[in-house]
Amino acid sequence: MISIHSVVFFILTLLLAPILPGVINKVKAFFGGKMGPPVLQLYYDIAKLMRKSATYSQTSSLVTRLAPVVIFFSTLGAGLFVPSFFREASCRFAGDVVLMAYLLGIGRFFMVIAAMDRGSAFEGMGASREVLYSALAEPAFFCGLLVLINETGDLSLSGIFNGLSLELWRQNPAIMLLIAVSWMIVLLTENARIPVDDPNTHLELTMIHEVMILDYSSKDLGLIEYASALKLWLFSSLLVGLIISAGAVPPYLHIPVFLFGILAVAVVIGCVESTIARLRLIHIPKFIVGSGALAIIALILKIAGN
Amino acid sequence: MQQFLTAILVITCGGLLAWLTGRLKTLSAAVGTGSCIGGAALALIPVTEILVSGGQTAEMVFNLPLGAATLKLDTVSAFFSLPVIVLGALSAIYAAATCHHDKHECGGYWFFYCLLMASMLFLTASANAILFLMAWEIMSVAAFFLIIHRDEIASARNAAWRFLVASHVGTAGLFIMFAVITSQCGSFEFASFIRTPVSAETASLVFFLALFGFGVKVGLLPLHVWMPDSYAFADAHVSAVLSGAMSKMGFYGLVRVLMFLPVHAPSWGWALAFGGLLTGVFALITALAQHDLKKVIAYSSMENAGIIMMGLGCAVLAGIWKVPSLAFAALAGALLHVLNHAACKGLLFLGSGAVYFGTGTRKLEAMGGLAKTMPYTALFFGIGAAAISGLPPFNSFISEFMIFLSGLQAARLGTSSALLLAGVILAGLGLIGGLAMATFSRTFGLVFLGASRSDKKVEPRESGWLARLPMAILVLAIFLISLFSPFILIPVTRVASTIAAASGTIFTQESAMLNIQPVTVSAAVSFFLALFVVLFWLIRSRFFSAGDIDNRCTWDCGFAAPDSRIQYTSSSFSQPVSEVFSSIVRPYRHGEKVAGFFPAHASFRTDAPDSLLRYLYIPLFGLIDRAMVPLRALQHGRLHLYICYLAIVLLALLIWKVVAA
Repeated sequence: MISIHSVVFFILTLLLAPILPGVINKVKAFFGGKMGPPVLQLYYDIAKLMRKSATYSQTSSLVTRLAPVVIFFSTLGAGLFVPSFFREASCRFAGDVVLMAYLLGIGRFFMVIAAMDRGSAFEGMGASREVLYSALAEPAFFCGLLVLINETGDLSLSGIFNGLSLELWRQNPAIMLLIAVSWMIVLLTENARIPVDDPNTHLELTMIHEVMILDYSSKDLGLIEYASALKLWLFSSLLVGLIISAGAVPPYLHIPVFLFGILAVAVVIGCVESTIARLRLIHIPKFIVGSGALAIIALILKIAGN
Repeated sequence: MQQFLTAILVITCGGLLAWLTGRLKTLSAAVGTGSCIGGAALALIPVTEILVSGGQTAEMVFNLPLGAATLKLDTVSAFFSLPVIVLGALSAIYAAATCHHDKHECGGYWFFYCLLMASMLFLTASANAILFLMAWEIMSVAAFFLIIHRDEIASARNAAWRFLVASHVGTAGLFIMFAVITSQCGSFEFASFIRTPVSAETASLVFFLALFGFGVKVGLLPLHVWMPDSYAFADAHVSAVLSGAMSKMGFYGLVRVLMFLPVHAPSWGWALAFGGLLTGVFALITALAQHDLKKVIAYSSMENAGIIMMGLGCAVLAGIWKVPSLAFAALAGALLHVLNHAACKGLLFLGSGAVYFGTGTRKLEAMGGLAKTMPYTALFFGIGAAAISGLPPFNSFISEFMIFLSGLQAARLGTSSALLLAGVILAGLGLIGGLAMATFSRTFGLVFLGASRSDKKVEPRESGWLARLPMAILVLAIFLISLFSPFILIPVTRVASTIAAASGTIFTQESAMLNIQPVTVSAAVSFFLALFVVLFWLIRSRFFSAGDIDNRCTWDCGFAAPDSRIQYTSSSFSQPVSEVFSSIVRPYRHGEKVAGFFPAHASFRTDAPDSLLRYLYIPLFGLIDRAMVPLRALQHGRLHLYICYLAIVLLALLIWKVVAA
């Protein structure tokens, strides 16, 4: 189940993950005509946070202290099953995708209860939005996935993504495009990006993800920031695996093509964030449900095509 | 079998004795609890024997005047009696520990509690329609008397009456169902039901009558309306038994009926799958808008019933399509979820009782910060909340994972109907899982975390060790089920094989292992991660916490004197969800608009009674009520005229008989 080879790629994933937010910020700075922070800024931030000591609110309980660790390890655990570099993931079994989704789920559960732990006026606000948006994004993810399972006949993430080929895109361009767009929306939702959430906003009232971690500092904040970057990497890998099918790339080009793909995703996110504004809160559910609708249309096309 | 019957007898006699000693509160509680625990221990012996060793079913035939009546304990009965035995005994301990809070005389209360437990055990052992219906009726009536215990509260009375009406409407369906089967095979014995071939139309009629009758008990949409209020107004230990054990009897009945009918129709599977999906989603959307702790948990019972129903529906369809491995994942997942839900729901209801005794309220708006004053309850409730949301490494994840796995396998099958089923299961369970997470993170956060929203100055008290013991045992059960899931799945596999074999689906070793292996791996991975979390956290808090400060106030945009009133409340937390699903939930909004530049006072409150109750049942029953007004002339209270009615009816029947002959 676990090979040394795949563990190397897993470690590579863990090392490279914090680069994505840097790339996105560089793209946004370019659109704004600025220099922007260095691409490696998140590495510097995390290194600095790890050296600091923490401050906790007196209202907080054990939950606040435990949550960053849970969030970190659950995201790490989810990463075990996501194939990157067009290779097998570190661990694969039938239905591993469910464990992946639910590990991210327990991270979110702790993020939400930790937000309610401080008794803040704003953190509960973020929590209540986060739980709704993530629940609405679930069906879109699973609907797209079941079409891919049907196409490839495998039940594990590694099997599904290794089974994808350009042939599929040629045969069912509409279905694949619908899934790609719907998963892009899921990625933006799950990772708190524009148009769902603005990671750079300075107003607590409009935040979602950022407001839930307002009270975190030092090592705790470092773990959470790292977990967020890793989560972004994982979702981007799924998207890259879907768009650039594993079958289309010769083995010696796996690493460069995958890196190119994942940076391209970051650039696209950067472009999206630079060119469109975030949606008003009342429109966000419609946007996310829209992604579910796209995935369901893909499913209906698949059923009709049978 | 003798042991099982002795157990039922012990519990019933103990109940009677507790009633007789009702004036002496402690003695009566001791007798009641003792008989429940003793009976449970006695019943557990044959049940574990059957489940662990397998195959050996016990049978006993009574020769009654109207023909033989069989009592039989097979794997399916033994499996479904497990939640009754475990929750019955644990809730009895809890009841004994908390009965000093109760100002009523408790003798009768203990009697009906014991009667409920005994009748449920008897129900699982009945292999005869008459005995089954008798046990079913005793169970419902005992439950009614338990719910109406606090009869000084008008809402509790209403809830109990609603329960009584609903369960009798359901029982009427069951009467018709058994009448239809009996008319086909001429006997009340379950064994003869299985042997008698029935036409497809009759089979469908029987199944849908059963779905209606048993659907009332499990809380199938739209038959659930009795559930939230009854669970909310009953005492915590009663709600735990009602939700964890009694509503599972509905599934027991449904499974039995599926076993009577060897040929299943696809429409049954679709009805179960879609019914389950709608039930689950509706329940959670409504749960998110509730402000009563126990109502939230009650709606979650309905949600879990939906999940189990989706699993059963998938199993029925897979049986028809002849895909054993898919049927196995769905059926074993659904069965295991019955156990898991019983454990989690028992824990959550007992926890809600501890909260109620600690704070004197069930209102979420008046809670907060209880983790500091009630640390044990907070820990237990937190584990229960994470477990019931289906999160790893807890037990419900295992069963939900198996149902997910059946959806994934259906996606691989590739036929159009299999794809549709996969869509229903995957997207549906995904949405249900997300909403359940929302519901229980909200509930746990509002009750136990943050600062207290109550304006009372009384400090909440932690419950005593005896009341905490049953919760601790349930937490242990939750961990054991998930940690040893491959071993737990052995008896579950046996039960699932028995059920599937009745409709001709045979599970091979291979089809079972195909599903059990991923379960094992995912349980192992999640446990290792949990271990890492604990280790890492211990290291972090021991060696890397130098200089940490923990006495600062929460960041509130620079406002340095935050108090508990600025916190998010249960209304505000659920507002986005209620907004999105406002066409279904239709919350009432109360409050004053903020006006002027320096608003002095403003308030906002939402309130979301069950929309089906509001828009379907209350108008419907109002209509029936008005339509029945003319008939009241017949009910005048004069006895001689009533006897006259009897004579007229008898005469009419006689004439009909003569004319027909």
